[in-house]
Amino acid sequence: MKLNYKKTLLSLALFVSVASYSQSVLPNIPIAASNGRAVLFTSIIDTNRVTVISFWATWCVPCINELDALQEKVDEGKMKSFQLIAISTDESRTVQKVRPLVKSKGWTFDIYLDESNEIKRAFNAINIPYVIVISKGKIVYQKTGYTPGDEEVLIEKINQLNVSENP
Amino acid sequence: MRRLSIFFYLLLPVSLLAQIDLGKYGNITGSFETNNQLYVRDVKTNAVLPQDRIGSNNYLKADYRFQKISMGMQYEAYLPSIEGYPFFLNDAKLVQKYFSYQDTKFGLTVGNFYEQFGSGLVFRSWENRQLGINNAMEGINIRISPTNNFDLKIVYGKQRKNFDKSNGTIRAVDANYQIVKPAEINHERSLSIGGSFVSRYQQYTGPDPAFKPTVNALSGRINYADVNANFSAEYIIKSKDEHTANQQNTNIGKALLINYGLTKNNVGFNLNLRRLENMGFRTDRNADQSLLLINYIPALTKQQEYYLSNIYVYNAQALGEIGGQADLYFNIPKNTKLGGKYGMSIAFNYARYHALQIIAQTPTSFKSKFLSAGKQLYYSDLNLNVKKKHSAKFTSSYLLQHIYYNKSVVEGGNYENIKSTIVVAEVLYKYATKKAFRTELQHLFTKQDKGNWFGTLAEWSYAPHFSIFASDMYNYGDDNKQIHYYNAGGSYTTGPHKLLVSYGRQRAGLICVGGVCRLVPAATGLNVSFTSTF
Repeated sequence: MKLNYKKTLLSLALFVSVASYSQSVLPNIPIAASNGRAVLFTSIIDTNRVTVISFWATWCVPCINELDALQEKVDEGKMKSFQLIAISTDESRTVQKVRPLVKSKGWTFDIYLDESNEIKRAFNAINIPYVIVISKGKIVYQKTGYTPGDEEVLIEKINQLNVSENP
Repeated sequence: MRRLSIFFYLLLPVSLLAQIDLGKYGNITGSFETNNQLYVRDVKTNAVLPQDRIGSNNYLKADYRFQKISMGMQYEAYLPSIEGYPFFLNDAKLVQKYFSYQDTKFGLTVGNFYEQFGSGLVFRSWENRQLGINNAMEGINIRISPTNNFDLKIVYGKQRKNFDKSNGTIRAVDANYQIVKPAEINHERSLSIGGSFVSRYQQYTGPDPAFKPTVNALSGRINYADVNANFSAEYIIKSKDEHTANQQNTNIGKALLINYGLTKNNVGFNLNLRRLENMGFRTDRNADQSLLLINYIPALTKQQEYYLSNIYVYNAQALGEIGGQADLYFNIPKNTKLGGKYGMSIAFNYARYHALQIIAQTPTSFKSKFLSAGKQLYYSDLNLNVKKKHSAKFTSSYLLQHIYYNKSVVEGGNYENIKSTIVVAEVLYKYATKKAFRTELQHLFTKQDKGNWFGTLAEWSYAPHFSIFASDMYNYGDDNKQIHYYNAGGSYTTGPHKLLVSYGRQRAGLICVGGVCRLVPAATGLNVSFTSTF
């Protein structure tokens, strides 16, 4: 089979340019709250507010840095009303560390456990940290990885959405 | 050319799928990942130089979701697989597909799926692409929740074995009953009990009439949690299971896992205790390495993030170990003398694992005291992490770690035991709203094995798109050969798409997971990876 490089590059460029955040159906699968209570994922989303979902783990330093930075912004009152859900992808090796770490950090986010990584897989998140912003039941922004300053971009995004929803 | 052809066919459907907006008829999502290595000759490290100087692992996953229905597939191409993987493949295939219906009271998945019972110590099917592990089930998975406090899972099928599937079959059931169910998510007391039964059948055609083709495992567990405390315990018993990986040991398998956690104000405490005895469990009695694992036996130690802390890493001893770990996390509050304006976080971890106390032994079995530790120390690890934000621009982190590593047990062979101390200092300087510079200095002290190491890393980032880095691990303490393991590269990220390019040396070392280790050879060359979610 013949193939030219131009076609491959064109396909790559096309893919990157058109990959849009069009997920309108959120996964309808169970997730565990930090006290073990299982609920359907769709039921934990507050449809009246912008929701930020952060996939993280206790062993992932960039994830913790990102959540620390977001908590700092919340404490400073720099973010308008939004719901932040931190979904731990810790498996059985480290899942027991989630509650003590969260408590010591004083994070005020809603914490959920995705021990089997079913929710992470359903969102097709490959690596963590991975952030998803949901507005009116649709994914409007996704970001893989964390570099210092990413929280500023996220705040801008949340505030923009809040303004457009509540002008 | 074949490589490019497959790559093109991986990308083309993704490009098309990403454009399809099905509106009220659901949506299509997915991900694409490609990891590529171009190997070069490196006499200094004895790096591998495969005949085909390229390794390329590629994954395309796509899911269609409509109301309560979802279906999808995973296509994988190894062109060929990158060095250090637990298998060698030079092929591409649609390896996984599934159909699923999920409702509050009922869930059904047909095809490939991942599942876990309890902590996974009795059953876990999972995927980790970096480690080359994928033991997805192929069969049927049913979830029944007739009331809001009872869940039943039924699993039947075969496990994935690279591009093939297992010879043996798994039949399994798990039940969970919530005795006290919190009215509010995340806020109230919760108490539940559960149990699992996992049965493996693999036909036996050998000469021993007493050899049974079926191995059964039974587990019971309890979980309690309230606002400030949590406790869980799990006990597993497994029938006689002689196989290659346990050297044909005939002991009944037993495992006990106890977890306790306590939190108050800005303090968190966690304790894990575990005893294992002949708990290796596979779908095929001849399987080795990380293939066809039915259960999951992680090392319950601190998962390290720094390079030099990942040289001497413990691996759980499924045949027999007893020990545990304790974690203490606390934050010194903001606006205190020690905490300063931003506070300071401190984390302490101690882990220790011993051999079982053996009281009688034959070549294929042993008797041991249940809750006594043997004299032989397998591993101990003491960690102190401190992180302090000094100002809006300046944050520093420190690690002090001391390790005792029984190399003969963990890696096999006959070696001197290793005592090592590691110190790390990390500084983050965020000099503009979206620009930051980060550096690490690391040192590993040891008089054994390959002696001392020095490590350093420098990284510059410009959020949200750019990052570049350079790092080096210098093994200057090795009398035979002093080697710099250097790496440099950069990444470009836009939303859920990330391109990473780097060049450097990868040291030979062990990758241990789920109670199994394998040696990853040294390699030098160019790495290009791209990940994307759509």
